[in-house]
Amino acid sequence: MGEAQLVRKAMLGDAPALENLIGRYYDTIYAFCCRRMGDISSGSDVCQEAFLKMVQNLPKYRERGYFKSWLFTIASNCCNDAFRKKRPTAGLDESIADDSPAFEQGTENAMLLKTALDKLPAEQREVVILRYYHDFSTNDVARVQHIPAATVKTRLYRGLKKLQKLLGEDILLET
Amino acid sequence: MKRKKTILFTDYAVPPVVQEQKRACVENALAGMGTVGRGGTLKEQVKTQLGYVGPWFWLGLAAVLVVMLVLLGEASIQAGTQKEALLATLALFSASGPVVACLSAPVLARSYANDMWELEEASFYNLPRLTALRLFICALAALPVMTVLAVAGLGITGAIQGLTALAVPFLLASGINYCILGRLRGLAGSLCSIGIGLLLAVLCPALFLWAEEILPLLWADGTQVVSAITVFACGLFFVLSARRFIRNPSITY
Amino acid sequence: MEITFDRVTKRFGTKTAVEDFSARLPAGVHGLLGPNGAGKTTLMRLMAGILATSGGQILLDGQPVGSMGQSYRAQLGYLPQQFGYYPTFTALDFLLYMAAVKGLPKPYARAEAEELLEKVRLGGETNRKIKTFSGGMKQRLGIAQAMQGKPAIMILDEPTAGLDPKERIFFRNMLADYARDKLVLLSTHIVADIESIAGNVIVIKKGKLLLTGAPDDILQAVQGKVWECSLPLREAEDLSARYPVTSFRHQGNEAFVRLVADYSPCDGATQAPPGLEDLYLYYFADEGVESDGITA
Repeated sequence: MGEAQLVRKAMLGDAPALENLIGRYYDTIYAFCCRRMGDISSGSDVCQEAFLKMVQNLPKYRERGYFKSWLFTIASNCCNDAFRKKRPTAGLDESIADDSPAFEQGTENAMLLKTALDKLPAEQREVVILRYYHDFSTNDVARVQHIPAATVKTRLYRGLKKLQKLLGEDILLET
Repeated sequence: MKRKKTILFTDYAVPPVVQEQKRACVENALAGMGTVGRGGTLKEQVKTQLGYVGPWFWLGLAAVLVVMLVLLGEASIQAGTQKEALLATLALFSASGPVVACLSAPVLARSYANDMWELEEASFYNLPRLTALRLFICALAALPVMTVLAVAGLGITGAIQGLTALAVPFLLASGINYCILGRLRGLAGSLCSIGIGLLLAVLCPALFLWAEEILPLLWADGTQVVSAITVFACGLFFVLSARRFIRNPSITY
Repeated sequence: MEITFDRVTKRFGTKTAVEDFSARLPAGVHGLLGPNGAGKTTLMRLMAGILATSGGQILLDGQPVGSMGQSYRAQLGYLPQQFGYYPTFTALDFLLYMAAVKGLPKPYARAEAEELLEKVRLGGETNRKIKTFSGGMKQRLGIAQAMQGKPAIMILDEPTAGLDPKERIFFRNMLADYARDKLVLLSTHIVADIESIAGNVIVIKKGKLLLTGAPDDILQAVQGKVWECSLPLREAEDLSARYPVTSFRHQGNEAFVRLVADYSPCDGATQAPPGLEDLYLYYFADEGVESDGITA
């Protein structure tokens, strides 16, 4: 079944269609939320919240072929809301990974990259995650963040530059 | 030269999905399906209604704006003074807004005649509420043009008089509409609100010009103060009656 | 989810349409049974929020519906006994208009309207003007609008009026499927409709609650009052003049009669298990009402 038809059926309350739709996107949204939030537990909770919001907002979704971007926008907003709830006085830039269960101790590279990514400003971090972990084009990222493509490129450039700086001169970040 | 260590983005991997969590997510989402949610905030309700307002609504509004601009030109010629013409036109235009909204609201007066009133009364937006929302959309849509008119006429009318001519009839007419529609239902409510709207549309320009002549005689330096107070009072009346109307929990008939 | 009628009364001037009506309606299908003028439509209008009560109140999960306003109406689907349409509307226009009035998002409304029209077998009439529809088609369109937005509470006043037997069966099956976890109040004269899908029956007479309960339970009220006998034609006709008759079937020179009476009406009469039609006739025979074509 095509995605447009699946979305339409899910919008109209067809439970199997909704299950199918969630099944298609769960893994990718889960990965996005975990990286965005900086830890598994929060990422998992936000992922669940994102799909619930998806269901509640499906009636408003206009079929224009950008369902994935729309879903990622919801996930991004849920991540922002979660950050605000956890630390109302902190900005969205601060990662909450300090006092919550961290990722499993993977390779040293993974920890270095994660630490650096967590220190990026929220909007730059998101652009980098969408671009390099989810293969979003510049236009797709622009759609998710509701900003012009040029701004996406700027954020990406600055994000990569800052990441490299955070990783240090001895490390080369390969895209 | 020291060899740099290379890190790839893919080095940072997320642990695999736990199937129980995935299942819980699906069940949570399925539980979220049910009665379709309606917008709670005014912004959401306006956005929903905008989806239904068709091209004829906008064309009608544009036509009204064009007529007003033509009237303005005609009035300038007839009245002889630009200031009086502009003030009268602004007042007429402003008072007509609620009438246009009532007329553009779907079949407000035809509801009873076509036996639709029962269905509509039991709906999320009964007709008065729908009219109120459409009126709000009218106001938002007309605001840029009205502002341009008022600003363009600043040099002629003065800021306070221009604002008064623009704001007072609209706020007054809309506030009265909300009061009527909050108490009278069905055909009676529709006819009453349209009738009063038309009456105000005819009276306001004349009243305005009369005030312009009489006020300086009573209080030479006080015209602007009176204008400001009038705008404030009408604004307060509009806000209070609109709030009461929109938040009215009673579903009595 | 539960709707509670708490001593609800409605007066129109000196006339009392509903008097001291109390009932609890949990999720499920509830059939409202009563003759014309019993107060069914008034009760439904009270529940739909179109009328205000003169006394008592209606509660949704303990909260008075009068104070809930839009949040209550957001959960309602209503089909009045008589409803009109705007003459220039097509079937799709009508559903989209109702969607606007119900505050449903346009993308959803459009998709749902098409689906509902298919469901009520009007899929081929989407762009046809309603004024060209037959009575049955209009009724099906009305049922479609009542289901818009997936309301948790449906109030259907005579929904099968004007439908032929095949359409009525189709409607019953559709409602039974839809109403699984919803609250449906359905009023009708057609007893067979209630018998097949209602889990709870409310019998109303002259604005007052007469009986309420599961169909099998309320039939106890007429247990031992339903009689069947075969008689010569003349005697059978005499009997029909004296008692409310549910069924009168010619069999050559004799007639098979099924009637309701407190005591055996004649020699040879045997008691029969009661049905809802018998109950209806037993309580409403003096009202001169119709019960699926049989006049008492």
